[in-house]
Amino acid sequence: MSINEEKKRLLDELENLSPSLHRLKVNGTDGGGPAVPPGYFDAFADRLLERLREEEGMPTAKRPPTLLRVIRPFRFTMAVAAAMALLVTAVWFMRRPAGEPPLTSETIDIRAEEVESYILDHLEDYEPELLAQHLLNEPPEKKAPSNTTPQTKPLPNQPAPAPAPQQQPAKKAKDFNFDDLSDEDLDALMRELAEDDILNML
Amino acid sequence: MTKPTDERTDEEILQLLQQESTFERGFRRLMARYQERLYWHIRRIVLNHEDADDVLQNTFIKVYRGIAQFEGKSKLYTWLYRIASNESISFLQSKNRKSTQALDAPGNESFRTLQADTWFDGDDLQRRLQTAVGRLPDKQRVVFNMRYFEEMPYEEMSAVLDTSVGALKASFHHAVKKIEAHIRDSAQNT
Repeated sequence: MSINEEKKRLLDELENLSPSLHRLKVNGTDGGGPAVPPGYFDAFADRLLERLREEEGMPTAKRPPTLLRVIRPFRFTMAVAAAMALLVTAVWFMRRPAGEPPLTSETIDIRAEEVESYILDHLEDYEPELLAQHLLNEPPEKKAPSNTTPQTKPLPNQPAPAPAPQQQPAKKAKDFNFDDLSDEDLDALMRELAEDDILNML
Repeated sequence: MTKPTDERTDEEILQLLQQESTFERGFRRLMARYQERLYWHIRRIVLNHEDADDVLQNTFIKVYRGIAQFEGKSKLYTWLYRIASNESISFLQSKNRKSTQALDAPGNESFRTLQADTWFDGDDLQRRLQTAVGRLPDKQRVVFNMRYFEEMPYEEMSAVLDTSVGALKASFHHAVKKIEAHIRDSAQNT
């Protein structure tokens, strides 16, 4: 039986029993009536579950373990260990032996061919003058690099070409003998340099 | 034939309640589904919000204790209504005992309960109706509320209250007559 049918049955029943209650049911009242405090039903479940846990020992819902919850008991130990590791690393860097050179890009062991390869792959990042200067400043033995004897060179993206002229006066392009360049270097250089740059160099 | 959505939802709730890992989720869903209906059922019997809140909590605590023994012979909501009705009647009986000890008439008690309820803002007619309902004997009050306010069919009421349909009809008819007389008298007195 539907709700409407049941309501009709009730109203018929009331009409026979009590016309005044029937009118009250049909017309209602001027409004109002029992009410509940705002948010009462939203908070009810939490309040009751809290009471059940306290009075009935209802277990807290088991949730699947997450990495955060697994490591939570060890979080203080892990934080102390991380702080100690940081401290030891900092002390090690600050208290290196006096004779040992500081760690800079120049003291890092980089092979000449790696530098060469990097420059060739990123030619667009360099000013043509700096590039030419770098190639002109290479020592003669650089032309035939050996894989067995690593050489240390400044990183190409460091401002290394700038101090170079101070340590070793840069040769002017005009004074440079292009015969010193290998064929591959020369080809790469010629591909990348604009015509004006080549004319300026000459 | 597919089951109605209500029954399917009740089945899902009962399945969740069977396992410890999903029990809380199931219990929350049970409360979300029935707390409001049960609250109003209780509130119309005990009249006052604070009392209704206490009785509703007690009802769900009884449900928590008894859900493992629920065999599904009756519908879930029938079982819940039965617990809520019994809890409400127990509450009223306890309150009436205290009222009797204080030599107070039950009608006056329900009138004062409504007057004291800050969460009742009905008009005069509403208040007279609720006071008249409050004067009814406890079980008759439950019958009247279920039929008049909740519009529940006698057959369902019979399942909830474990009383025959004929007895319920007779109880409702008596209740209506008493309430009508009270409203008429109180209107003449004012």
